[in-house]
Amino acid sequence: MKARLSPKTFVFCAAMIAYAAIIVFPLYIIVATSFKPNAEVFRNTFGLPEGLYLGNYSSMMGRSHFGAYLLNSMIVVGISIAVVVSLSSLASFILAKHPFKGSRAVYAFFVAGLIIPIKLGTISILMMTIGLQWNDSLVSVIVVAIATEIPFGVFILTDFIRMIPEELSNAARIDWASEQGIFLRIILPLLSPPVAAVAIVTFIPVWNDFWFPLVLLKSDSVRTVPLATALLFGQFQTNYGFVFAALTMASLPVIAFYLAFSKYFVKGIAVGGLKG
Amino acid sequence: MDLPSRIQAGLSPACRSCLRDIPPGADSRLHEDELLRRLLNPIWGLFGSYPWLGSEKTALLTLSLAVSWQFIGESILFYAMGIDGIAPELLEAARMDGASWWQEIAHVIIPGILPVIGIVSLLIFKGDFTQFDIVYAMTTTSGNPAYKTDLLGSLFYRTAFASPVRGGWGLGMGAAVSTLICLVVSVGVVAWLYFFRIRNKERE
Repeated sequence: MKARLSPKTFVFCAAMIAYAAIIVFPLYIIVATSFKPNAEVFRNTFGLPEGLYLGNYSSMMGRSHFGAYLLNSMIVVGISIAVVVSLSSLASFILAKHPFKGSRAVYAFFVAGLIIPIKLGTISILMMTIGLQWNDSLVSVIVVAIATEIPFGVFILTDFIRMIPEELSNAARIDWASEQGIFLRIILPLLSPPVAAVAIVTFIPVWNDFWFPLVLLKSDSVRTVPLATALLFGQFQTNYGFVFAALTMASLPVIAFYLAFSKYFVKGIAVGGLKG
Repeated sequence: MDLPSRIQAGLSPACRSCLRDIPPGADSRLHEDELLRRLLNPIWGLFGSYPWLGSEKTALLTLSLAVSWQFIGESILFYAMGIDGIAPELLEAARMDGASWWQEIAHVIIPGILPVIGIVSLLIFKGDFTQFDIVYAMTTTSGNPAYKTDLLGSLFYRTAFASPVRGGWGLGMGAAVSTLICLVVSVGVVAWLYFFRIRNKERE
C-alpha cells in the first residue's frame, strides 16, 4: 500500500512529535545529567555527558541512605496497592451484585471521595495520626494512601462488575456455589484488566506523593523518595549530578511500571470509568 | 488506546504504537519541576538570561505553564478514551453526509466528548486549587517573588506548618485556609454537577 501523507497527517504528526519531545526531553536531561560530575554540569548543561561518570550513583548508594528511601517508598506503594485492590474489589462486588438498602448512598460516598481532595483534611489527619501515635511512621502515609485511592478502585470496579452478566453467577449458583465461591472463581478472574488499571492508578500518585510524607514524616529513616530528593537541594549549594542520579532512580520504577501495564491501564479505564 | 485512529486513519502503525507508549505524565510532579527550575535559570538556563521565575511579571505565568505540563498527560489520555468511545457509525454517517474534517470535529466529536471535557476541567480545577508540589519545588512556599506565585496550596502549607518566622499562623489558621479551599472546590463541583444534570435531562 502506498504511504499516504496528506498535509493533515503531516500537521498532526508534527504536533505529536512536538508533544513527545516535551515529554521525552526532560527525561533525557534527567538521565544525561546523572552521568556528569558536578563541574561538567555547569560547563555542559544540556549536552550529552562527555564520559560515563558513575560517581553519582555510587555515592548515592553509599553515602546517602537512598536505598532505604527506595525501600520505604516500595513498602508504602506495595502495601497500599494490595489493600486497595483487595478491599475495593470486595466492596464493588457487593455494591454491584448485592444491592442493599442504602448501597447507593455508600457508592455516592465513595465517588465523593473521588472528587473532594483529601489534602483539605490534612490537619485532621495530622491530629488523628498524633492521637493514634502513628505520627512519624510509615503507617500514617500508608493509611492515607489507601484512603485516597480506594474511591477510584470502587468507582472503576463497580462499573466493571455491573457489566458482568448475571447468568454467569446464576450458572454457578445452580451448581451450589456459595457467594464467596462466585466472587473468587467467577468474578475475580474476569477482573484482571480493571484491577491492573486500579493498581497503576494507585502506584503513580502514591509513589509521587510529596504532600503527606512532607507533613506526616519527620525522621530521616522513614523518608520516602520524593521527600528525600526534595531535601537534596541545598540552599547555597547543590550537587546537581547527584540530585539527578536520585531523580533517575526515582523515575525508573514509575516508567517501568507504566510501560509494563499501560495496555491494561488504558483498557481498564476505557471499560470501567468515564461513561458519563 | 489507538489515539486518534478514527480521525486519522492514514497514520502508519509504527507511529500509532509510538503514540500509545508515551507515558502520560507518568512521573510528572516534583521530579521535572526541579528540572524546569534549572532550565529556567537565568545564568545557564535554556531560555536566555531573563529571570523567568525571579521577575514579578512572568513568575506566575511560568509556574502555570509548568502546572499545565503536569496535567497535559492525563488530559490527553482522558480525551483519547472519550474519542475512542464515540460510536464509529456516527462518524461514518457524518462522512456520508459530506461533513468536512472540521465539521466532523465540531459537530460529532466535541459534543460526544462533552462529559470528558467536564471531567478534565473539574480535575484540573481541583488540582490547581490544591496545587502544592510544583509551587514548592519551583518558588518555595513563600510565594517568591513578592507573593506573586502564592497559591492557596502554598498558603495552606505556610499558615499551618511553617515556623512563625516564615509566616506560620498555627493549625487553626491552616484549617481556616483549607475550609476556604474546600468552599472553592465545592463551588466547582456543584457547577459541574449542575451542568451534567442539565446535559442528561436534555438527552432524555
